[in-house]
Amino acid sequence: MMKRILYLLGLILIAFHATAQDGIFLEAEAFLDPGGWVVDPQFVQQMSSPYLMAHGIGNLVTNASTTFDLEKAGSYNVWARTKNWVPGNWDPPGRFKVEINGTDLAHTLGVTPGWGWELAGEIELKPGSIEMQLVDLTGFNGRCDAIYLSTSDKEPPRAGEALAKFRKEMLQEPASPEVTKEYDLVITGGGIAGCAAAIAAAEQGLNVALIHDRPVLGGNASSEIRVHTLGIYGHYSRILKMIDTEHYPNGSPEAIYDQEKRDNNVKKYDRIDLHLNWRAYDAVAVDSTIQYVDARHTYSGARKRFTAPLFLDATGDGWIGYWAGAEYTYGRESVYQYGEEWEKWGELWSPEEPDNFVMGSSILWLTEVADRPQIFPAVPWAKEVARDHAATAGEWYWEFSRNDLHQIHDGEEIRDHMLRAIFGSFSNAKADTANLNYRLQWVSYLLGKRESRRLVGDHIFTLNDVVDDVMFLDSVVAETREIDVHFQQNLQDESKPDFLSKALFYKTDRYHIPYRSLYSRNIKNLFMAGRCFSCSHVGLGGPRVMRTTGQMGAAAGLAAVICNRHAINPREVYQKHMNEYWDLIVIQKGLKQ
Amino acid sequence: MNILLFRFIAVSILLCIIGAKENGERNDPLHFAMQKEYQLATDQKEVFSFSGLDSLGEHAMFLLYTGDHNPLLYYSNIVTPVCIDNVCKPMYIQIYWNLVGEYVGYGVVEDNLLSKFDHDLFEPRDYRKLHDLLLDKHSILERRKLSDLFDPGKKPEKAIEFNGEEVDALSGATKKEISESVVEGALYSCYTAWHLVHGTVVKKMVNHIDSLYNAHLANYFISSPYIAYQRYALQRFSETEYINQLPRIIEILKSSKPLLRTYVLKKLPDLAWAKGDILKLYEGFSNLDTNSKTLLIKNLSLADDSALMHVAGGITGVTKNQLRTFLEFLAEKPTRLTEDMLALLHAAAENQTYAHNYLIAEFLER
Ligand SMILES: Cc1cc2nc3c(=O)[nH]c(=O)nc-3n(C[C@H](O)[C@H](O)[C@H](O)COP(=O)(O)OP(=O)(O)OC[C@H]3O[C@@H](n4cnc5c(N)ncnc54)[C@H](O)[C@@H]3O)c2cc1C
Repeated sequence: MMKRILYLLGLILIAFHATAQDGIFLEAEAFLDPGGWVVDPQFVQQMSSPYLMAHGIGNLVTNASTTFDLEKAGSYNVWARTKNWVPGNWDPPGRFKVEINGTDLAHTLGVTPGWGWELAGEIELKPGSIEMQLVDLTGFNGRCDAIYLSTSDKEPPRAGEALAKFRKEMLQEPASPEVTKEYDLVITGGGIAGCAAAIAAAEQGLNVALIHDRPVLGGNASSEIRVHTLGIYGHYSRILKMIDTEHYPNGSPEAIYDQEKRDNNVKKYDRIDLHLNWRAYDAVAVDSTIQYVDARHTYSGARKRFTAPLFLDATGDGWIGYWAGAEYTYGRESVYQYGEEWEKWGELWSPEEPDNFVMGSSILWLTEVADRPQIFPAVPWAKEVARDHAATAGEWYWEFSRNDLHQIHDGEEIRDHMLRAIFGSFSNAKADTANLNYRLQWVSYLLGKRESRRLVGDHIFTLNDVVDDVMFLDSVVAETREIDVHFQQNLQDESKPDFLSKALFYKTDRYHIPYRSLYSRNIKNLFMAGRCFSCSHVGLGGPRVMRTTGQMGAAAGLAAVICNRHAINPREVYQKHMNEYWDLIVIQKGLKQ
Repeated sequence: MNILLFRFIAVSILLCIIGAKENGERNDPLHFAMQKEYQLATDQKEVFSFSGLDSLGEHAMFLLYTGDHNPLLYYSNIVTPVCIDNVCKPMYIQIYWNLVGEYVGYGVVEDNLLSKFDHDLFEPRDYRKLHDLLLDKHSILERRKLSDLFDPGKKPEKAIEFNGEEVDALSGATKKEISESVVEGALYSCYTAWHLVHGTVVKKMVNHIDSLYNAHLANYFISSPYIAYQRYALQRFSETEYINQLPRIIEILKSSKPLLRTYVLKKLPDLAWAKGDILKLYEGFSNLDTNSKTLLIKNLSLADDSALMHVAGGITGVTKNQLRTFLEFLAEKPTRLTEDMLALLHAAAENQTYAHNYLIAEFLER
């Protein structure tokens, strides 16, 4: 924690609390000491900022605190931007209070539906250093985006453009980032795909930026989400073994050992300029060529511009492509579009009419058996979701998708739904005396996603490439794992809770993914690797697993090396330099680090 | 090699015996998941042959008919070897599938009742369990090789444990789950039967019924209480048939599972949405599953004003995105916003227990 405070102090010049004439604006994520609150940057694009969340899985978390200097004495109104994350006929689950200089402000917060400002109270303040704390009252995911103090009683704008403008003014932010850095390749997203790409390119001499919005690498494979890696290594075993995981059960704390291995391995490359806790928020293309990616530090708020001749989107959600105007798809294609029928499973596999019913996102969780009885608080607000489902363990099939939900835009709602599913089902299980000693050991607050935007490349990988066993000239990725596509159990049986899925497995022989699925069709200098590579919904069913996405990353990283050598675009690697590219790929296994 | 040869000979001998027995009497099934259609069967015709896991043996498939030649069920009287470690015994089982190739029931042969590997006969609950297993298209037996299913002599390479329970690496299924779904002591029979019932034979039945499908069957299917039949017909209906059969289709939608309901709602021709019958569905809006509600809201522009009223009446039961779609629709078509509807919206906006009431309030302010 000390380290973090020092680091933040270093950034204090641009730190995220600002004083304008008639108000003081404090970003909660920039509090000097977050205490037991976590910084949640997952939904910035939807609700406008990272926020602090009291993710105590039922236990009160310690206060978050910060200090700031006040110039003018006065009677201040204090607002917090927050929300009641489960409105209903019960006490809101995420309640908290604000304390200033040791005084509790009058109102309990986290009580109004939808992100907006709630008045915490009024307080007389003298000039000087002011101390502020966020006090968790429930241990169940209270959230605070920002605090605003003002002597006026005018509430700040609730959301949208007006809020963005207000925030910018309060923070006195110039239009573009203050710092620009130049690289050979800028990779956004440090999942297995992004890590593999960074290693592959850096080993061949490229200066690489790796921008990742978490403190640890690995995305879904990280110790924060804890999915184990499946799939084969293809040509890239040496690289992938530096970053993959053992085959422990999903959710296992063993993920922590692989986390150390991965972080250490990536950090040892001088040519990888690792930006942990930086989240990209924009990418701008001119003449279909990306000029830069802008990113923001997830808690200090500092901004940086990353320029390079080449960019790689490994965000899983295709963000870089999306901002730059790359073609992308979302949803399930009609079965007729590519002819991906599996008669046995019909609509569950591939629908006649296209729709948005993609594979869902998950929250993994873990319980333990203590040596004495454990109390779990009542969670009436979770029952609507959990109903009478009782569980003491989660697994991959705790997954949520619905035809009105978008896995990116509605991410917060999906995450919150899963939290209610978990807390409610666990609470139901606790009603059974056999589970008296059970307690929640760990519940992630990060959504493990399976499918969202898929960027469109020169080749769109589909089930047919698997079934027909197509061997491409540029088959740079190989896999043997079966194709599996998920569906929600309640489609077949309404009595099932809506957060459980099932998988349909289509057995296959070895199949191949062509390099042409790893760069954008219309943005000239954009690669993509990971689950946002160019494929159909069913096509993603097999290669979304993380050794395969790692292979894609490594393959794209090496293609970037060829681009760099000849100052060419990704497409020209396929058109003119395949032999040279293959030579680089096949020597990978034997390379010494 | 020797073992294989031995096995081949053993199985061949068994199959000779079997060939003779497969033509035996058809008994009433012991467990059956439909109404008693088999009682109507007065006639049967051999339509093709098929094999199970052991591709050495071919079984005859019969189509059962009514007196006036209307197809009822597929049926096969099967004797199949069940082998472990090169010791094989015959299993006698009479299997019934519906007309679209789904398992629906089985019967046994009096002198050759089902037994476990230690020769104990099946108990009544074992017969029931086998039926339940065969009904499960998703059985955890599907993706497994028999040798992967806890062969008692074989330890897994690395046991994976989770909260003290051994977990199956492939699906996360625990050993407990596997043993819960198969008959104890009869894993091999269960495995053989499941793969026989759900194997390549299914495709053969579907191809066969496709070749027989006609207006009579279409009518039989759409009028039947069986989702599988309804689905089969609905997949093949033309737009005109959708319109002509709308009253029956709405009836089906009211009671069917979300999967079929959403399938049909996506497929209904525009014209159908303007028909009065569709209002019967909107009437029950509040009780529908969430995915169907999405589709009903999405199609409001095609439907009648009273459809809108039904949705407004159930507004506190819709999701955030459904509400947004609904309000966007009203914003675009303000003429369709009636006084009654407004009253409902005001009430919802003031309902503090409705999670999205603030969106309605914002809408009303505008
Ligand atoms: C519950 C579950 C079980 C699964 N089971 C398996 C399994 O057993 N084995 C397996 O191999 N796969 C499994 N999968 C699938 C696999 O984990 C995913 O497909 C995975 O997302 C693929 O890795 P990736 O590198 O493409 O993306 P991710 O792992 O999602 O990594 C992308 C990273 O980019 C970061 N990021 C996103 N946007 C930005 C931005 N704007 N700026 C900076 N950083 C950003 C994100 O934080 C994320 O960590 C499972 C998935 C789930 C959810």
